[in-house]
Amino acid sequence: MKKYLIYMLTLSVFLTFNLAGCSPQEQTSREVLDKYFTSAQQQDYATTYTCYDSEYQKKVTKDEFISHRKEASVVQSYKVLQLDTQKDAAKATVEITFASSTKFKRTEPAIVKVNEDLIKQKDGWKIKV
Amino acid sequence: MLKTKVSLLLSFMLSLAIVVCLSTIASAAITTGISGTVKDINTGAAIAGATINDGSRTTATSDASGNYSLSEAAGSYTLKISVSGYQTTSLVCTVASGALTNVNFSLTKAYGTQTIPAASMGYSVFAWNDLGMHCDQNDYSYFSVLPPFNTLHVQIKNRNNTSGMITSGVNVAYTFPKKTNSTLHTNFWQFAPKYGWNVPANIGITGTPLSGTMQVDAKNLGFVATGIPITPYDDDGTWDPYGAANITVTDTNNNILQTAAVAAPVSTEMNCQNCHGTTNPQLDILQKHDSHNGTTLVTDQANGTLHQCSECHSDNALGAPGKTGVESLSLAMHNFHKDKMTTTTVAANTTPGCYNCHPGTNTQCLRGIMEKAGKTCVDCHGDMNKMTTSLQGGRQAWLQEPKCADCHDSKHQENANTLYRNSTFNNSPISVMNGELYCEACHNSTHGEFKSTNSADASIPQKFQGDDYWIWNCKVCHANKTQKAMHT
Repeated sequence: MKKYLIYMLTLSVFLTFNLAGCSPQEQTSREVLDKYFTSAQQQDYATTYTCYDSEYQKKVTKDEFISHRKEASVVQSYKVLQLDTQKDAAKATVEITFASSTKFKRTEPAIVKVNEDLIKQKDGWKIKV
Repeated sequence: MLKTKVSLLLSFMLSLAIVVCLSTIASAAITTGISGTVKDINTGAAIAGATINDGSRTTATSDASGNYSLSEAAGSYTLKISVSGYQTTSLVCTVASGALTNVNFSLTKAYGTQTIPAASMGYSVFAWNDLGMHCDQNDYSYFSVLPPFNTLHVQIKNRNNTSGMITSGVNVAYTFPKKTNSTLHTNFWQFAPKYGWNVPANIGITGTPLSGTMQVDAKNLGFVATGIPITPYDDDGTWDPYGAANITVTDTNNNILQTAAVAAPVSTEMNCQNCHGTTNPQLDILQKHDSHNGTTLVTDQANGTLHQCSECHSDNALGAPGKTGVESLSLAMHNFHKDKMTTTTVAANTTPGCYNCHPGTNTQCLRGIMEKAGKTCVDCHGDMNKMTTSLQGGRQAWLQEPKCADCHDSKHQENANTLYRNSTFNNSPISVMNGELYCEACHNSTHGEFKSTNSADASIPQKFQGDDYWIWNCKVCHANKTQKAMHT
C-alpha cells in the first residue's frame, strides 16, 4: 500500500510538472500591454487587433479595424507608468507619444496619457474597449 | 335519460362542427386581408398559439409554424397580439381592396422579475444621444460634409418625491474618459478656419468642449450638450464608434447625487471608396463634381480654398440655407447616386445598400429593436428613389422623418407635428408625468432603440432596471410605485 502511494505521488508530481511545461505560457497583463503598443508602434495593426477583447472583435472586423487605425496617428513610443493587476482585471496608465504627421499638420510629436483597462478572457489578457 | 344523452351528443357534434368549420376558415388561404408570421425576436423561432386581434371580433391564432391569417375587408386596422411569456404588442396596417397585407410580428420576452437596482438609489438618470449616430470624416483637407458633432441629453428624477424631472439645483457634467483629445486623430481643427469655423482645438462648432457642464434644454425638462466634437477614435488610436460618456450629477454643494454612462455614437465609416476608389476618394469626388457641375473644386482645393458642401447645398443638419436653385445636400446625394449603387461589385454587395454612404457594415447604425425585428433602413425611410421623390416633393431632410405612428398604435405615437427625438410621454398612468419625460429617455435614440443589439446602448437600463429593455418598471423613477405599464 505504501509503495503504491509513493508511485502515485511520484506520477502526479511528474505529470504536473510535465503538463505545465508543455502547455503554452499565458502572457501576463504587462506582456499583452507591450504587445498592444509595440505592434501599433510597428504599424502591425493586425497584431494590435488580436489584443482586443472578444466584445470589440465581434463588432469590428480585423480588416475594418486596420483600415481605420491607419487613418489615426502613428505611435512613436510609449511608457507604461503604472499597472495594477487584479485576478481578472487590470488597469494601466500609459504615456503615448504620437509621431509628427503631415496629415494632421503636426510638426512635433504629441504626447498623451491614457488609461487602459485589461480583462482576462478564456484566451488570456485582452485590452477592453 | 336517452333524450339527454342524444341532446348531449348533438351538442358535442355541433360544437365539433363549429370548431372544424372555424379552423378550416382560419387555415384556408385567404386572398383579401392580413397574413404573416409570429416569431421570437431573439431566436427567430416560430411562436404558436399567439392570438391576433384586429380590434373587433376577428381573431386568428398562429399555427405551429407561426403563421396566421385574418380575412378582412379593405380598411385600416390595429392588430393586437398576445401570447403567454411574451410582451403584448400592436401594429397598425392598411388592407387594400382585394389585396393581402403582410404583417409579421417579432415578439419580445415578458419582463423579468429581477430586483430593480434603482430601488436602492435616491436619483435616476436617463441619458441618450439624439440621433443614434453621427457622421464624421477621416480627412477634412478636401471638403467638409459634416464636422465632428455629437449631442447628449440627460434627464434626472428624484425617486423619493412626486415632482417632475429636475432641472435646477444640480450640476450635470459629462466627460469621455477614452476620448479626451480629438486633435490626436483628426485634422478637423487644422482646416476648420477654411470652412469658416474659427473654434479652438477640441471645441465644437457650437462652442461645446469634449468635457464640461450640460445646459438646461429648450423645454426645461432636462440637460443637453450640443455639438460635442468627439470622433470615433479613442486617445490611444482605437476606432470605437460607440465611445461612452460618463455623466455626473452633483448638488450645489458638489455632492454626487448620481452617475451614469451613455454611448455617444459617431462613425467615419462612410465607404466613399466603394465607388470612388481607394487611392484618393476625396479627390475623385471633387473631380467628378467638377465634371458634372462645372465647378472648380479641385483647383480651389489645390489653391487652399476649401468648401463645405452646405455652402451651396442647403443642409438642415447644420442650419445652412445653401444657394437658391441648388438641391439640398440630402436630395443631391440621393438623387445623383440612386442609380449608381451597382457601380462597383463592392457597392452592389454592400447590404443594406444604405451602408455604402451611411455608417456602416461594421458600425451598424441600425441596431435597435427595429433591426432585431427584421426591419431595414428602407422599411422606415424608403429606398433611394423614395428618398428622392419625397425630398423633391418638399419634405425637409432631418426635420421631417419617419414616424413611429406609421406602424405602431396610437398609444405609442409621437406628439403632433413633432419628431420622435423631441416628443414626450403623454399617456402616463399618472397625469402629472405627461409632458415630462422624453420618449428617448425610456426607449433610447432612434436607430438604437431598446432592446438594442449593441450592448453599448444598454448602460442606462442595465444600471437602473437590471436588464436591457426599454424603461418599463415605474420603480426606476418612483420609490412608491409598482406599475409595470407606462402607456395607458
